Amino acid sequence: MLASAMLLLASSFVVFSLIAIAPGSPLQVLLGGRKVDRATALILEHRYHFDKPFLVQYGYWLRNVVHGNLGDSIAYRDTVASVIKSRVAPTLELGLYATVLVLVIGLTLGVIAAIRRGRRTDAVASFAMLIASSISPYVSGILLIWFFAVELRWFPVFSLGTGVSGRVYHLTLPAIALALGLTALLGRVTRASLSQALGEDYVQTARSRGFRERRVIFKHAFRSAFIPVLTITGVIAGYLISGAVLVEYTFGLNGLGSLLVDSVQSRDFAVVQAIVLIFTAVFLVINLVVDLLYVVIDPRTRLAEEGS
Amino acid sequence: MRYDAEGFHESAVRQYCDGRLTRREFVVKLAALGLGSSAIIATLASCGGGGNATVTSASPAATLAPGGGKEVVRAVSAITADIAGFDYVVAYDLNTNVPVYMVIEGLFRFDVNGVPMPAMALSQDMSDPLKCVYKLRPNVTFHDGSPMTSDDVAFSLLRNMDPDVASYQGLFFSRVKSIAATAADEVTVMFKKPDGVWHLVSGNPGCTGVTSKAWIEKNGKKVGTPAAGILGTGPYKFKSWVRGQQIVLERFDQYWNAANRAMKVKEWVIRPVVDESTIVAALGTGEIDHTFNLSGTSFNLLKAFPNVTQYTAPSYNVAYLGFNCEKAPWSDKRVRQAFSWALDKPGILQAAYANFGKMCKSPITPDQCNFETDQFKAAYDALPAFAPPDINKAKALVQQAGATGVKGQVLVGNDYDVPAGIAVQYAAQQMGMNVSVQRMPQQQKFALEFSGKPRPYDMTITIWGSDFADPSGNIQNCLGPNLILNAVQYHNPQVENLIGLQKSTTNQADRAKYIMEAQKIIVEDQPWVVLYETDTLQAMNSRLAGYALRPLYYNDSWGADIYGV
Repeated sequence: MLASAMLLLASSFVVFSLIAIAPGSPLQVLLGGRKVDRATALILEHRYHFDKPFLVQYGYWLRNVVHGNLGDSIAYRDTVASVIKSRVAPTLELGLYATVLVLVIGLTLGVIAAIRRGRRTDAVASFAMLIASSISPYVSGILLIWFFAVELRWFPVFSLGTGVSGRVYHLTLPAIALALGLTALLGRVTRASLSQALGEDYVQTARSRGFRERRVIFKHAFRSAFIPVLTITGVIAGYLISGAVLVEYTFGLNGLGSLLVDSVQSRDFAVVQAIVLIFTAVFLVINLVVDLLYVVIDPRTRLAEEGS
Repeated sequence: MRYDAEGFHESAVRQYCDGRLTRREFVVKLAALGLGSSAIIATLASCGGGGNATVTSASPAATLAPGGGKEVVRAVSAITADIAGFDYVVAYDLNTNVPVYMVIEGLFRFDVNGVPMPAMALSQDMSDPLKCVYKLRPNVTFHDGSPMTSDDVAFSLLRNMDPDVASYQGLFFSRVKSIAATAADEVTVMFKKPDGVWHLVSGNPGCTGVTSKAWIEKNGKKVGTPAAGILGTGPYKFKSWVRGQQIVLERFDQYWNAANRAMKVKEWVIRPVVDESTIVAALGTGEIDHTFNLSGTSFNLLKAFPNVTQYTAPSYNVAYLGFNCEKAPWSDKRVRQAFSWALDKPGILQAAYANFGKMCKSPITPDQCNFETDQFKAAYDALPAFAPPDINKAKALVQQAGATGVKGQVLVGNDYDVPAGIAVQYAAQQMGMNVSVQRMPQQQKFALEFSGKPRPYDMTITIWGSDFADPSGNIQNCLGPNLILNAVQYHNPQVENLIGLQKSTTNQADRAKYIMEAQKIIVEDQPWVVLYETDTLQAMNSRLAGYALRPLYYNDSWGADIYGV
């Protein structure tokens, strides 16, 4: 718990520092291009503490956060909580949908490739994973929009849709674009891990005892092969939530990712800090879940900890 | 990201457009320079032609017969970023203005030529140069049914001068001494010094937008946020705003001017869509019905969709190459003039904006001179004529200035400015200089350009547009004594004196004379090499029509003139 709190504090300080040392002040970025008088600029500088030293500004922010106040956005002149609240759902829903796709398709491809290792099926699956990992989400997004939305009209070009079915429908192409490369990554890790497990002595022993191949693969080999897969799944899930900005831009989803980029560019540091905190917290939760699942899947982990 | 000229023997853009490079060769060249896919796609599309095949102009809504045009239940318009706030005091960008000025109206409203027409005020009397007396329109109600009063009008104007409000429009009020309701139908503005453009400030709804004093006081911090929006008198009222997703505006059936506007769209949904290629695709599929906010190269792609009609109109915007006039060798006007001789400006317009614009000899566009028009036309015609690029002349000027072999960089922000950056780099190479293109986010570039401090850059490519149909708008702040807005740090005492003189008189003939003299000096000095004047662009689904597109569309309640066909 303490380690998590320290991590959150450290990441907030690092982000704050990076924004502070970037060229141009937040007010200059905010007001640039607008014909604003010096008096207005000074008023806004004072209101948002830009006329204070760096550590004092950070201190103001930290004090507010400890009291549950994420501060005010200088770009939107509203509370940070209000600015980000409607952006959280698109990012989480997209991340979740993409994670499900990654797990279902990635695991399936990886298992098939491992079982059929060295054969044509393995070659086809591996080639498909290679192609998928070579395409960036932005390019795959544009291709998906062009083909499935504009040409075939099977899916909408952009936006979130309404209701559960509407959301699933609207988020299908973005989730595919986001999941494509990571599906390949998970598939390859699964293939490698399961292939290794299938070559282990205990698996041969299980086969020699006459167990059916399906039981050998899924009850014996897969369980131990799943540990590295679980590790990479945790990393993938975190990335899918925090790294979806290109897909958000392409499909007009305007979630936390695109807000983070916009806020960094406009030096809206309170919004940046809040989003970084959210993403850091998400990573911490995911890592906690992964750690707990280790114990469930492989009891040796718990026994090893108790022994030590 | 930096671009190097090494191995770049001829403009790749020009080679591709002339057919000397295949598409594959061109993409490989630009990708090697690190250009993003959207810039490559945009540049490829721009060479597809001048983009005028399906362009029309909309009929003014005033010609629509009463009862004409079909009712439309809902229409979707796209902007390219979420709005800054739903309050006229922060509405000062092309995205925020689009929905806000459907709800808020100013005292006057600009017609297609930028001339202010009565809106919330019936007249403005500036016979005394230190005073402006507005006579207000009677029987106007706000969206909540309460009547508009002179107290509301005075309060609304004064918000722009309130330090706590910190309005973005404050600069326009720099010469105002006081504002007061002087009768039930009258508001008087007193000035410290005469203001030669105040009659145009009246048409800017950001400056003279009218809201209810009681409503503002009641809603406090919720004003301008999704919780409350703003209360206005415009043809549409604020219904809802989900940040990052959509703004919904509902038709106000008791609008005072409903008889003279189409008022056929019941509900406008404004959606922020950051990626222009997504807007183009969504216009093609019909998920978006309308947008203003496309660059020329993206706009050109719409030719492929038969369900989309494209509209163009002049603008007051010029794209220019700006020099840091306080840094050698760019401080030497011979170097600046050299670039003017070396650059292929028509080629840049074609590559950057798909020919949706025209050449312009001056920072002041002819379309923004709507008074003393004969004088301004004669002065513009007297400026040096357009000439094709002359590299030998340009080289000679650089050599005379002793700038051969000098290194520098040019800043580029928007995707569509990249071809211009490459053209500058190529021209510099031909003149014996070494210029690299430095790409950065547009907002970061603005922060450097408008910092008010000594500028760190050598050159920058950007667009400037006047807020009014007034020639001073393209020189007063950006090439005058304003330290913050003068991004090129150009200081010519004669020009600054002339700018001061034109601002301080309400005699328009005198103003024209001062502005034309300043224009002549500026064109000679070339602190900006004007690359092209952009068109104003609007794309609309063919199921809709209406709205006479104008340069100041972003200060207008455009949606009220659109109807179904």
